[in-house]
Amino acid sequence: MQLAGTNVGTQEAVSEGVSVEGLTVKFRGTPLIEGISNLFEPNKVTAIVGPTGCGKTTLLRSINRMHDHVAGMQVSGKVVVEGVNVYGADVNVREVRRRVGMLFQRPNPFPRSIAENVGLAPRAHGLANRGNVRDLVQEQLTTVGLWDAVSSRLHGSPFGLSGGQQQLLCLARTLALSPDVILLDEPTSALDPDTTDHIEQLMKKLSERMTVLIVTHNLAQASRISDNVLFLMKGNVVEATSARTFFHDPADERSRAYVSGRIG
Amino acid sequence: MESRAPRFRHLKGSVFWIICGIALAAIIAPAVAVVVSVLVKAAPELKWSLLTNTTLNVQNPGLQNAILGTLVLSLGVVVVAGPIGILGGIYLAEFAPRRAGGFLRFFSEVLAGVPSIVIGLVAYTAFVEALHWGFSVLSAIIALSLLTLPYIVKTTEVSFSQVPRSLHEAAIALGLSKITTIRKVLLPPALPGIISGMVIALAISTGETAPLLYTAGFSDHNPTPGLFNNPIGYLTYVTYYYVGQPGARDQALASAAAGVTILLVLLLIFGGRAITARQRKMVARLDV
Repeated sequence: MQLAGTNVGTQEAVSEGVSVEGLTVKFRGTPLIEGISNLFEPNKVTAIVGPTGCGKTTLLRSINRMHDHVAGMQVSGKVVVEGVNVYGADVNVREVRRRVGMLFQRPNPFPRSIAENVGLAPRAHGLANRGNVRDLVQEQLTTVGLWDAVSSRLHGSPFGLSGGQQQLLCLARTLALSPDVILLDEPTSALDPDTTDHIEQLMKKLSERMTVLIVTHNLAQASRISDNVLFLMKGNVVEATSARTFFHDPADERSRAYVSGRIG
Repeated sequence: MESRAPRFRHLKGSVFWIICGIALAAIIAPAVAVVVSVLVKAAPELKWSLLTNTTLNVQNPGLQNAILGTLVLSLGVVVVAGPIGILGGIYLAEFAPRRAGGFLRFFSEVLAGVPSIVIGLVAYTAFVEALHWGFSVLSAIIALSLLTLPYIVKTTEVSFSQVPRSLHEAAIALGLSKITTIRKVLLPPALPGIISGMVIALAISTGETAPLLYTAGFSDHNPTPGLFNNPIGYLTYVTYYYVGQPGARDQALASAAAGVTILLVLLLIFGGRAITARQRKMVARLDV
């Protein structure tokens, strides 16, 4: 396992993944997740699974501090991304979100041109300028496999694209910030099987250069793409293990029941 | 019971539809009556010389000074009330803590409820008298701005609040600053609504008379540069003043001014509706 910041001085620092320590999230006093600790290994796809309301999405949204913007949410504990506790005192939240990308359940492109959707955030973060933003846009759209479909209408509206293409555009928009971690909140639940397959292949490929966390309701999907599985129930970790173990020989009786479809 | 219930429901339904129909007629009839009667009365008086002559011309009086004056005052409202109202609406929708927001909304509603003649009187006391601005373009523009500000604030706030939550979340997750989010992500879908609010504000300021009586004064000459001690003409005054004069020529001028005012307001309202329709389509697409 690649851990610890021994290579901090070099350009390509070794990724440390995401470490969650004693994380509790409450909404108006009611705990949604309680004291969760887990290491999301670098360059692996970790699927977060569990029955509805178990806290999957709450956990995912803690990692890039999305709860900051919801009144009544209280977060305690630590989330360490690349050696930095994102809930630390002098953390630059915008930089955290630059390094931790997020893809939502439903595509939510900005009401701007296709090119601007991808180029807007890199320009805002000073990662690109007027001169080179076009190259970045092309690179990211190529990565997600959308370039051929949209190259002739980069300045057109994204709402003319299919739902699947819109989601790929949103993925390109996130990747344009070169994140170290990407959070996916049921990213394919609104998509057709072909696009789902395409995005799953992309996840595997992306995990070569970043840490991938995916919340999914779809166990088949989890077994197809994940290296590790974190199984939650009622806001607590039931089992955190490799995907192979989770699907074939889980330690916990509840995991066995969930995998075989008896709960969930 | 099973046989009676549907019949009773049908009866209730019919009664409801009839009441709705009456209410609809009560809204449409006066609106149509006002517009039609004014335009019918004005139609024979609408001639080219209205645009080329001023009210100073005794033989063949026109409305050039009044039309230009109304346009100048409307432009003033866009310049003064526009930025303040839009920024206020953005503050309410995106920044205001709950308590401050409630406080501001309350005062905005109070301002919207103050009769226009009272606003005129206040503006007269403060600007025309106390500050010695005299009857002036600026006093008039401020009075009209006070009157229209609540509408601009409200429509801006609503336009921003209607932008889907998912766009806010996308912007947050990309680490965009609040200012960038507003300018680049929220403003495009909110803009048509803001513009239609501005249009309503302009329609109101085009049609107002009371606050201008105390502040703009009136001038038979075309508007001249100068914000202070510089009275300015406007359309509604022509209707207000000349309808009380004995001569047939004066009566005709009053009708023509009313007709031109109505045409301007209709133009603004239809323009505003066209923009609102575009916005609805946009928001529907965003909701997919």
